[in-house]
Amino acid sequence: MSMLEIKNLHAAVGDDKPILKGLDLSVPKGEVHAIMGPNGSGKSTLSYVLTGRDGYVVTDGSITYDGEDVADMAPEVRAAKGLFLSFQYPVEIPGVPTLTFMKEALNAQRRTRGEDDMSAPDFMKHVREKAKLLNISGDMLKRPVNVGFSGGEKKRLEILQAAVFEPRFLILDETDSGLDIDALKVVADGVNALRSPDRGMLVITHYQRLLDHIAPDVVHVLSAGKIVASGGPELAKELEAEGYDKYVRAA
Amino acid sequence: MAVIEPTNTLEQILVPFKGATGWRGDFAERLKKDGLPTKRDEDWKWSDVTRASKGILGKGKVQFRSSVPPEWTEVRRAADQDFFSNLLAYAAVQAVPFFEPKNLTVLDLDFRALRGVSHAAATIVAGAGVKFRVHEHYSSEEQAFSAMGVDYVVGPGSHVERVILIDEAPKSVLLLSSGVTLHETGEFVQTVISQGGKLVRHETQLHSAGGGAKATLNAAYLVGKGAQADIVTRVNMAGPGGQLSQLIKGIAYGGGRGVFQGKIHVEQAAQKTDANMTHRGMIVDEKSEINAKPELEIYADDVECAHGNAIGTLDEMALFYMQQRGLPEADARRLLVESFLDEALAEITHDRTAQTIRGVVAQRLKGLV
Repeated sequence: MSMLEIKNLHAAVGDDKPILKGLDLSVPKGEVHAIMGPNGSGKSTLSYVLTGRDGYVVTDGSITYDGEDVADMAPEVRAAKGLFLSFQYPVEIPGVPTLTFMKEALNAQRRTRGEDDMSAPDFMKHVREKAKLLNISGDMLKRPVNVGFSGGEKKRLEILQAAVFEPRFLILDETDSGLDIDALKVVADGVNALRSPDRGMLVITHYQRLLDHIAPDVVHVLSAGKIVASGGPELAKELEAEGYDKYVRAA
Repeated sequence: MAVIEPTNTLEQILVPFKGATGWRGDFAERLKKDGLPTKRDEDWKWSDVTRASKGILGKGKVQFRSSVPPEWTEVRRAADQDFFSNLLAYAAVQAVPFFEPKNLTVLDLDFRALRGVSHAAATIVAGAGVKFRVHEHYSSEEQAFSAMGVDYVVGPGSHVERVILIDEAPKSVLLLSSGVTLHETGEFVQTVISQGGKLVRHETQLHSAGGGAKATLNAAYLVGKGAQADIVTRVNMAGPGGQLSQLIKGIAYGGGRGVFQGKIHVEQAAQKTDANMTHRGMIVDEKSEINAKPELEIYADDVECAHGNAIGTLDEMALFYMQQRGLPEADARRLLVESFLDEALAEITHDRTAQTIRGVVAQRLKGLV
């Protein structure tokens, strides 16, 4: 069985509005899969359903991660099991310094897994190594989480957190949105550094541009809540050239 | 002759005024006629003190301790002045403990109200060019009603930092009030931390002479089930070039009630006044409530004055973000709420005091939010 196995997934936002309508997807470990789709196809809903956001209700089907059905688990439990979502719009948390937040979150994950806390010096060493790679200054880490950060800084911080928490499966939701080409390169380098035979990735994007930097093994097209086509990287190029029209009509 | 025991809180409050003359007698007459404030009084429309104090009887007592011995002074007031709770506190005491620190960095004051009705007052004077901190702690037994007044005079070039921690018992009422007279080039920095009680009202009336005088009136309130905390400020900017900064933040959860009423009055003479007042409230659940009334009254034309008021709920998206990173929901809520209040504690300069206060806040929020 693949690392992430989604079968016939139906999900709704709130009580009535069905968004995902029978989605099937299988991502083996070590692979990077891209999900492309037009606005309103259910891309962000999928990322929230996978990570357990309140109000995103699974009405049918299953989400199996590492052989376990995670659909009813709390977000923090899924996080501790290694599911990480890089947010399209990272949230500002005034008053909580970034370092403090990351340390609390990392140790909360470790406790949930039955591991000991990481000591403060070990944590600092761990963060410093990863921060250097993403060009993140110590000053930025002292500021409150995402408060006053530019779009590029916010996305870099998301990837830094992924590097620090070392999750087993990454979901990147529109990680390229709001980035200029230089920032995009830094972020993509950070993501590529996380590619490993033990780790799976789902890259959700509207544009092909990001996939020039993060080369996917498989590309899926999402339309009206279902995967309507799958193929190699060439599928992304085709979408870029021809648009989503034919898939929107087919759905 | 039979002694007639008081049958309600107002009668109990009036006991010490028996035979009072002068302004005290006049105030007693006023009190007898008008009674305690009710919701019909605009200044008390969210603070029904009559109802909150119902059933509290018997002669109480305020246990007062200070880190240095006070001197004692008599007070004289006008019985008709518009600062009811302060009059109520001062009128019932004959001699008031009085502090005029000269070579002191910190003054600790502790007030504990025992069951029943009680009054207390104190006055603190910073002469010219002195600097000190005052830490005030208030606590009570259950079923206490107390009116306390702590007035300040801050002289030219003096700097007074005041931190007030209120730990009232859940079934008690505290009306705590302060008149602050701020002279030119004086600085007064106040931070109130209140978790409410049956009714806990902290009222500050500050008179700023302007001329480089700076005032900061910050407060953090956190009210849970059955608790009400009121923060009331009335500031009069009387002379030119005064500064005022106010940040009041509060959280209501589990059926708690928070109230903020703030008024800044800028006199015509107070040109170049720089004043701002911000209130932010967070209502954690549907059972809770926060009411706010910020007001500016400006008679000078060359001033910079602003006020802001916003009441919201816990940011669900931030909560999800934190959970996605591994924090359990309860921890995420606590961290969000703590960090929300923290901004209002930023003017506490003494590190250890700030740490203690943060610890107290964290403790209160544990398991409640």
